[in-house]
Amino acid sequence: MQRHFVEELDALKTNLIKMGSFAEESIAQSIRAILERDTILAEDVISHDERINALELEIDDAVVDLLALQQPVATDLRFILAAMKINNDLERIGDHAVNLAQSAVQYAERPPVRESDIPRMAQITKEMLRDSIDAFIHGDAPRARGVLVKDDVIDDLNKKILADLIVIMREDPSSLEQALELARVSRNLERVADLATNIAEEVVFIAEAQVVKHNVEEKRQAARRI
Amino acid sequence: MERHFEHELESLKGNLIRMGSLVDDQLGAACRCLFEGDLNRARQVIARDREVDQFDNLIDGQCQNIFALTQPVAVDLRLLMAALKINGQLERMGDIAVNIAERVEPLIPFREFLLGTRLSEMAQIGRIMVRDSLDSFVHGNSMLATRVLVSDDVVDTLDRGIFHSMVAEMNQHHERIEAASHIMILSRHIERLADHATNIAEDVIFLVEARFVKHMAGGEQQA
Repeated sequence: MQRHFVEELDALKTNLIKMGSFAEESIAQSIRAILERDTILAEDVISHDERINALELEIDDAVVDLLALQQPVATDLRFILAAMKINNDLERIGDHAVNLAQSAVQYAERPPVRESDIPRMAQITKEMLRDSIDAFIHGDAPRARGVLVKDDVIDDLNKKILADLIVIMREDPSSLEQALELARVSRNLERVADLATNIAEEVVFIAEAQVVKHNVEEKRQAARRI
Repeated sequence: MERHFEHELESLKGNLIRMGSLVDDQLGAACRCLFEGDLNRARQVIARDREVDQFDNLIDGQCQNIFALTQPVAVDLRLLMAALKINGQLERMGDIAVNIAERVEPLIPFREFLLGTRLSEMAQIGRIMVRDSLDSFVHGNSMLATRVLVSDDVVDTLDRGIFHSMVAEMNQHHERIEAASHIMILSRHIERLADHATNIAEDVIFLVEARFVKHMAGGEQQA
């Protein structure tokens, strides 16, 4: 029984790592498709989403089995619960990769607009995703905390890009569709960064048994009041 | 032990219901502020998001305790997993209320334009979906949950319609470019709100009928 449990836990971890690498690859490719105007690559990303969706269901089932049959405690329980959330976050990241790839197809149809911050935002988002997944694989809480810090940078970039795009649309209404497409790209990147942040929060939770989302002190206050 | 477990589960359910009604309040207030141009109340909505976050942490902790201290099996286990997921959805809905409240100020000068769009109709449907999804969870009513899934298509269609009409506005009235882009973003937020309600409804159906409807429709989340 015990041996079996360890094996199942390992299998879960392996599947999550696989899911993470799928999501990371899809995001990296969709970003490249936008920047290099590569619609073939974009179509690839769209058709690959199926495997992420299938893996999500498989992992969810494995989590239910583990919880029901093995009654895990302490660290293992924390890991399994976090795995369930990370699984869900990765699936959503896959959906955003599809959105980004669809934008890549649209954006490639017309001349580009001069928006200069998207590549930087894409770069930081990719780093956050990679770091959060690596932090999960290695149980590296300090690395996960590094991700949390970057989320504010992304939020600021998103706001700045939207403001810049509004100026571009005003100055040159013929660039409207293209500018709106980039606004969509920016918003999707911001969502991916958010989800990477969620993953990083879960990693800290597994490693330190500490809730970093929102604020622990707030949690205590809420517990007193309710 | 058994008694204790049931008590914990009831308390968890109670907290989820309270969180649900708080989020519903927040969404209602945010939409009213938007269409009435009430900046002061919008700020209150933003400040009150802390309470939603507190519930999120509280419920998460409660689920973990139940997992750790009792040994839930089969049906209860699924209920707990659904509770965890629904908690996450509610927290994100709370964030959407904040997102809506944040756009109140820039849209104040464009109220008439805003009221001329189909955004308020869309928001109304979105809010009904949220309430139906929560009710379906509370009462284990999968029929109600199924209705939520159907409404999601209506909201998606409205979102696309608003997007296209805003592009047309931008082309014709350049002075409305900024307002139109805020409205597009709001439309997207409500579309996402509807997605969250749909996720809850899917969990309820799974819970009630142990059936996976997820991914079957093959629909992608647009953000």
